[in-house]
Amino acid sequence: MTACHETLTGTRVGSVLLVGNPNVGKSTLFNGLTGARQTVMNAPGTTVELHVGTWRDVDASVTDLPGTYSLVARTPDEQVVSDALRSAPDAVAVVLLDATALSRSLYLLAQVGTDRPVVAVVTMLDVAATRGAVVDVARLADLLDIPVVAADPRDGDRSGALAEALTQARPLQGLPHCPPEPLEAAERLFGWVEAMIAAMGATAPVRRTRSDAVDRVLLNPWFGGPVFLASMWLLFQLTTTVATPVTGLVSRWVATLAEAARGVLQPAGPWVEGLVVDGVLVGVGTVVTFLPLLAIVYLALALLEDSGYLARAGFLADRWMRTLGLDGRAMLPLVIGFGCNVPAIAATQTLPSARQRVLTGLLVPWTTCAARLPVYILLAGIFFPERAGTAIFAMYLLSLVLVAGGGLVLRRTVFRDVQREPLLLILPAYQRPRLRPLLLSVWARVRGFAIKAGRIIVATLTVMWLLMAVPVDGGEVGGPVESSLYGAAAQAVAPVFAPAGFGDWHMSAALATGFVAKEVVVGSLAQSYAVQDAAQASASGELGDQIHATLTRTSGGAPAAAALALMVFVLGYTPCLATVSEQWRRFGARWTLGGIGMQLAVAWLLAVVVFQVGAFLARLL
Amino acid sequence: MTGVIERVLVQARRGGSVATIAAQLGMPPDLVAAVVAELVAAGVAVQPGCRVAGVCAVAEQGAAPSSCAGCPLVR
Repeated sequence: MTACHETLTGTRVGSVLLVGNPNVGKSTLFNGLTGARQTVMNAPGTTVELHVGTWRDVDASVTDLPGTYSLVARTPDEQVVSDALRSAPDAVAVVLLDATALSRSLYLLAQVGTDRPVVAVVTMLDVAATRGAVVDVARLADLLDIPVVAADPRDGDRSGALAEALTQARPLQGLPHCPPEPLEAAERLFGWVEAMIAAMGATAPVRRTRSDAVDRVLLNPWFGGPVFLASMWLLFQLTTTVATPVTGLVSRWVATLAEAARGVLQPAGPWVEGLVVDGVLVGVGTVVTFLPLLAIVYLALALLEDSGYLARAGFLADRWMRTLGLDGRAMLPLVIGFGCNVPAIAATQTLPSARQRVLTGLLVPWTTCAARLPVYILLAGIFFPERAGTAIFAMYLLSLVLVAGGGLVLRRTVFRDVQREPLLLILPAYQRPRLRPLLLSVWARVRGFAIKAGRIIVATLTVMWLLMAVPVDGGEVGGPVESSLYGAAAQAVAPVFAPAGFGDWHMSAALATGFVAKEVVVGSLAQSYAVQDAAQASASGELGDQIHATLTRTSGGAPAAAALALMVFVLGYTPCLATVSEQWRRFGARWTLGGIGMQLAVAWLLAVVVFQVGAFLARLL
Repeated sequence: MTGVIERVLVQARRGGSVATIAAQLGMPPDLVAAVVAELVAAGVAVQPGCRVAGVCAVAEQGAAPSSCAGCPLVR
């Protein structure tokens, strides 16, 4: 039979629950009370561990609950605490209060002590004192009207004082009545906490930090946006300047490797040589040449992230979207979209209503993902060598305009019923970026791109090469590419792009492969020219020269305008099959097909406008 | 005087970290942190840590398609 401890309020103490914020000293206190008399068990239905022991001095069962800041559970640990308290309404709760974060601890105490006997144990008094926040424990006990023990678990055995306090455990008095709605209940309890803290007079003075001064500029509605845009421009400018020599070096290595492979594979016959060298190696090699550049972009973005500045950019974007009448919550998936559209579509599930999810899901493909970057870099390097960074930056700017403009139009037409629900972004403090995690993160991303995306590129290029080898006019296998199944299909589509200045089969074929994944576009261009090279000596030359010659011909002498239009089309049309399938899964066929139609129409129209205006200006100048 | 949550909300809309909001409101930072945690739990606010990529928790890289491999924001 278990002897229960009698309290002054008449409650019989059969069990004690230790509750407190994380790292407040619960486990130390638990070990001090129970010694070796403890067992570890999983909380019912979870993998969360609970430590249960016997406190012999009072002959009570003691449970060390996981650390939590609130009984409004967000994590499995917090749910376990909430469930444990609910399932043991008569157990005495010993709530540990962190003297260095007294407000937060008092909030938890208020939640726990509303209707059960509680005892408070104040820890970290020494640390608080060094920070200038002295906690008067006697005054706190007077205000709370419950037993309060100053027992830093690291400073010797205070179990006697705690055992005595346990006999006087009682619910907190004077708490406000809490309505069932969690935020309203929290508001009243926070009011109580604030009153307690004011009565204690224990608050350490809060000083403004250097972060505050920086934020006054970076979050300013007038300066914040231009500063962000200027930093992004600088980023792309630096990236293209620094990376160009490295890209050239890697390109030469890849060409040497291709020639060596050609020599090795020659005895195996033209099919094997063609497939491996012209079919795959040239295409993959072209993508590989962009890896150093991607690494530099990843490093720059990681620097912005790790310093805390990217969160400020998110805050600015949120404010900007709300100004335009869009839902602030949509900002999160859209920010992810600049990395990759697929997880961005998945992230729309965080939005509260189905209509908001569809609206945001239709805008995500216009956020220019990292896979489109090699296409911009290739074309900007060829046609705007002196201003490549600015040209790439312009694509990112246009992406923002497309998202905002598209959002505005959709909000005022198809989605008039969608309500705005602003989202608050609580900013992290600035911090000095850490070199090792930065480099590890860049390495992981580049490696991931090379291996995972590489598989898609190789598979697509192999299929393309086979299609290039199949003749449609009864000619011999491996004849001119224009006469192949691939070439014929691409030529049939090419006239559609004539008004945009890039009505050529190389371009239309590359754009078609871009439906599979944008990572393939550059490889596809390189492959189609390389295979053509092998078949027609007249078409030989560097990839850049060949693309330049093609666009000069198709644009009627305004190749830069055609290149810009091509970049705009790549930005605006359907990102990849993975994004389409994710949209289909989440929003259904109607919205997905409608979205594809909208993207193609907008991309084509924009490309035509950009080319026609560009060509007109080129003629004027 | 308006409630604690309301005052934190108004200040957070102007932009700031927990420390900034606490300094501007003259509140203990841990009280502001507690308010922010409840706002996050209620879905009213997000606290992305030091990385905006924190919001990518819905799309861990392992579960994402291979075309996301190069995404600088997916982990």
